Amino acid sequence: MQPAVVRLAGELDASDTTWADGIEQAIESGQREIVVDLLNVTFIDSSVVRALVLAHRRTAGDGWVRLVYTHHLIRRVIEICGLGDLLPQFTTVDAALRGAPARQHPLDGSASGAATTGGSPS
Amino acid sequence: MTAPRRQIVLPAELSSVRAGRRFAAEVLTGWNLPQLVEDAQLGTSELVTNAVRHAGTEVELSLQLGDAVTIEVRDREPELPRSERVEFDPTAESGRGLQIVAAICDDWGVTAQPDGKAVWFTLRLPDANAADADVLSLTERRQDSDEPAPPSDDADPEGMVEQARGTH
Repeated sequence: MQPAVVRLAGELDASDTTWADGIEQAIESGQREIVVDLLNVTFIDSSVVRALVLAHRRTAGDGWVRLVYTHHLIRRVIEICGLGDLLPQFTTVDAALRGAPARQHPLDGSASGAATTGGSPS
Repeated sequence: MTAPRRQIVLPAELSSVRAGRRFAAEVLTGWNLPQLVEDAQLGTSELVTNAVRHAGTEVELSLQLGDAVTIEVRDREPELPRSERVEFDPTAESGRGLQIVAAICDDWGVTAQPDGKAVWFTLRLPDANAADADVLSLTERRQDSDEPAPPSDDADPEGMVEQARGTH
């Protein structure tokens, strides 16, 4: 099964949680590898963090949840909530689909413990 | 002189989260404090969400401009938030809201009210309070002191951060 890409946009909060439906549907349909594309998201709060952590838990073991974003506010919220190591982060959907460790999020200052093998530039 | 204060009463429904965030942004922009909008929106979002979810009463959101900006969310439920839930556990399902508030603000707290409680946080005013003043003070510093130039933003030798910005 190909990984699912769930694209979200706008301001995500508890006001209207229909943004969570795509993630829920992916998991319900048996997806265990999910890229959450937040490139067009301009705001998140802890309600989004909660949904992402739940998705991570439900896929952990036999899959993963990867995030794609460039907005600094998203980075801040993720860091504040201590999720930097829990959810791999990327700046493009392609990189997230590849999961290439060398292309982990450039805002990620921490050394990713990921393997550096096969890091051939493409 | 009274400190400028703006307030809004929001209904006990989750759509108030977005409405409150918009209100905070609008007030701060009106006070010429756009630098505080992001933090104010993060904090307001969490506090209004908590008030609506846990108190389930209408919510009064206020912003007051003094030595700092104080943003307060009042509800009519006297039970105080349980602070022991604010713990640093990335996989915990709750408690992150106040964790975010604590991280973005200068100070925060909860005060009991006769008919409920108020949860508030303060945001420090930006230095010199305006972009123009910042430029001026920089110029002055360069002219009248031998102090070395302020460190550049080049703390990131690989330029990774710039690259990330460039992808916007």
